[in-house]
Amino acid sequence: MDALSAAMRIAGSGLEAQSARLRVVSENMANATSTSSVAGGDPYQRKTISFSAELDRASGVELVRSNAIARDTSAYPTEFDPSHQAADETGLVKLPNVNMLIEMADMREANRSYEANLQMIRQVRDIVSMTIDLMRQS
Amino acid sequence: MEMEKVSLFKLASQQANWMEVRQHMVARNVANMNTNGYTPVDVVPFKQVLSQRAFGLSTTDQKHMGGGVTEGSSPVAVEVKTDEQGRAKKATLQDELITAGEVRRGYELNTAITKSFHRMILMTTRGA
Repeated sequence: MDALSAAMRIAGSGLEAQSARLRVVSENMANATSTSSVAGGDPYQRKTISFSAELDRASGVELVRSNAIARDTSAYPTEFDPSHQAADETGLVKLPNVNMLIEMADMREANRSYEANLQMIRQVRDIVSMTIDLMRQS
Repeated sequence: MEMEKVSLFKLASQQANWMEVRQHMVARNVANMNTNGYTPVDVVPFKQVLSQRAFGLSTTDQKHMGGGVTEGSSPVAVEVKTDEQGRAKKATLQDELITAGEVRRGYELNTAITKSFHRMILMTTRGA
């Protein structure tokens, strides 16, 4: 595989990785207030994603792969609300360990990385068309 | 007539190949921007490729990790990016965008020169 199509594939795998990241962010944000339905139960646990560089055997190109989605094991914040269905005997409700600010920042960063990968694809395409332009009658 | 025998075409083709590999490396660095423990790579300077005294990972086969060199073209060496102290650098988006801009400008210049040289040859053969 030549360098340019390899670059295209790598940027494509980067796009895929960043969209997986955006998906995890949106899952976290959507569940930012999801508590348990049983008294004293655990609420939604924040999901995290990580990436690794992996050699694609078929094409010999090093692509980005997202690893298995992990769970954030940090402590849950609690709130005193005895009337809540998830409240334990002391009246405390466990809330998800999702920090909206962190999720928003992560979303912006995923967005920027996605744009950067798109820019790479655009540039590779331009380089290819510059090469083809050499054949044009001038 | 083999155009590669004309030295300028050969040089232009070598540089275009070098820039293609460089673009490959930039795409790899950008895609792996958020990968843990990834070290960014870059190609050796073109000057070094020309003098054929390249050190580092040489990609002589398309299955090699450095990757991206087509058969029959001269191999372009790839090296891990290091800072002044010789430690592996951390990948930053701005560095990669600067490199991408360099590749783009270089490639534009390269194709423009090739085009005008080609026009020159056409002019001599046509005689008009």
